[in-house]
Amino acid sequence: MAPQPQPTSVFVLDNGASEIKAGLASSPSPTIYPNAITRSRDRRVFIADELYTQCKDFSGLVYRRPYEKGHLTNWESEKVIWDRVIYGDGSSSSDGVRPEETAFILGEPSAQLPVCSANTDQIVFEEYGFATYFRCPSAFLVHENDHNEALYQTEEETDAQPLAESTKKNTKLLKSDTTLVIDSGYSATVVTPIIENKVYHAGIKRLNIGGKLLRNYLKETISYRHYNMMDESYIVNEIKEHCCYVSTKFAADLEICKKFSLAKNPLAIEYVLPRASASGFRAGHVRTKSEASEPDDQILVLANERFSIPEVLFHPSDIDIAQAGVPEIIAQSLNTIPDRDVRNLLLANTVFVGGSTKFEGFKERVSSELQALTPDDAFLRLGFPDDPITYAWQGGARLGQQKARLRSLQVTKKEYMEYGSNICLQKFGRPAKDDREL
Amino acid sequence: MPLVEIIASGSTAGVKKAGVGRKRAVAANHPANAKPADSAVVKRAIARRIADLERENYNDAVKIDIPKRQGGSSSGAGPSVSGRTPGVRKLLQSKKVLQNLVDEDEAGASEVAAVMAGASLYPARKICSVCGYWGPITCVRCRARYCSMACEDTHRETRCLKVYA
Repeated sequence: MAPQPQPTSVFVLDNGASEIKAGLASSPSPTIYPNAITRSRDRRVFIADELYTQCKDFSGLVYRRPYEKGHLTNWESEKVIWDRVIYGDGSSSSDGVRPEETAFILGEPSAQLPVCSANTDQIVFEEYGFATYFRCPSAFLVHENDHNEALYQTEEETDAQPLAESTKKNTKLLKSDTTLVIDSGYSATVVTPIIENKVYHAGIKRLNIGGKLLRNYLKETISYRHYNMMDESYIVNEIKEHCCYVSTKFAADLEICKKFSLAKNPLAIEYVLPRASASGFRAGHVRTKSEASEPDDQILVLANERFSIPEVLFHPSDIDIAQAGVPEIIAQSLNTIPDRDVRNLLLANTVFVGGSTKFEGFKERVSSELQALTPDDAFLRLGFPDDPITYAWQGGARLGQQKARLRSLQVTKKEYMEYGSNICLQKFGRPAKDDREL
Repeated sequence: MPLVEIIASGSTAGVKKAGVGRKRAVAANHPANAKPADSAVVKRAIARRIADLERENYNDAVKIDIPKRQGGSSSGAGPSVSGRTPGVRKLLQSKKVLQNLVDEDEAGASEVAAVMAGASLYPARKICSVCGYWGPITCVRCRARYCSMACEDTHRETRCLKVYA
């Protein structure tokens, strides 16, 4: 048998349900692809990033996603998307990856259905034929990123005790082998504890609220109160990103919206809906005070919708979802860990990633509520990366540069051919029972 | 051309119009005649709404076929179709949805169910289902919340469960 060629490069792919973050570990940042096949109103079909390069009119866009509720179920569609991500767009200038010479690092959502992960393993080796392969929850890639001091720095110190002081007192808690990752993604918000460089499966907690549900809830609300926008997923998602925020004083904001008419409400904003015209598609935007309105502008005025929508992350019961909000599911996750010292370690090394953490006010709200739920003497150090979308990929790239460490985690093509898919489940999968004593 | 059209009374909750006479409908809508829905009906309505909120497209019947591209573009660099292993071929043609996979893999499904976060320790808040303000009043028929008589009227005209004895 010919000797196995050593992989010459490392390709990192963070396979999110909404967006794929992918690129060579040696590149400074990943390329972001929509993990979807989309169809516009004029029935043109776009694979992944073709949406941004070829689509002109985003109204009435419909999606087909390989993911269903956070589980990768459909390989018929994921295959054509991965082909673009891995091989490039087929133009001669593109630098596609040659899988047989490449080490592959894959991040998947936490708590995948095991059969979905096994299917992925099969595709990676039998269809693409990567030289070596390591699969883990994206939360583990987040953990692999170096959480330097800047991550945890807050702009204004609200605490009486300055952070630097308290950090000094708690240096023994600053461990790099333990991280609590909260990923508020597209399909769900998942808390994943990583203890001594291992995912602690018994502590994973999933709240079924993510960007998709928030978008649909906003869509439902706008359609009920203003215009029918039920078919406008793309546009409503833009509105959500531009207009919504997490209120740090929900009751007071609600009173303001009750007290003032829309015209006088300081919290109300006007959103100019996008428009398709002969001259092309004009994107929607928040209208500024000074902006003159054009006669055929369609204006959507949003008031309490701005903060009531993201509020369900904190109070799922507002829309009858019988689960606890984000700060409470963090507490639920910690409660599965019997050792108090480990809990304190996790609290001192907590990182928030995912698109829904980008709401203005999310950080302040989650910090104050988590403070209230944890013991007085617990030292909370919450990290909010500048770019919560690519933070996991950056961690994967960092792992890709540690050759020896990666070698201890990965499965080679030769091993796969010899032992079959069981070797992947054994090396990456969760043990049948968590045998580690905590 | 405007992208969206203004609709008169925005019922989007997918409430089914019952096929009964107008008189009877009016009578049933009158608060004095309102019959409380039993809890199973209310639970089903809530479950349906949450399922609606998890949808990818509002029109669930949307089917997008994989576009066939000629000449190498997306699939050209991959292994030839004939070189595929039977397992991969089967996987790429599989039409199974999540429910099928869950039904086939009981152990895996119970693992997935085990990670679901539990309920809150705190009581649910009362939010008006029409305007979003606090909603202290409960609809006797469908258990939805509202805050005022104006919102009550809107609720009855649009979203309230149409339950007939």
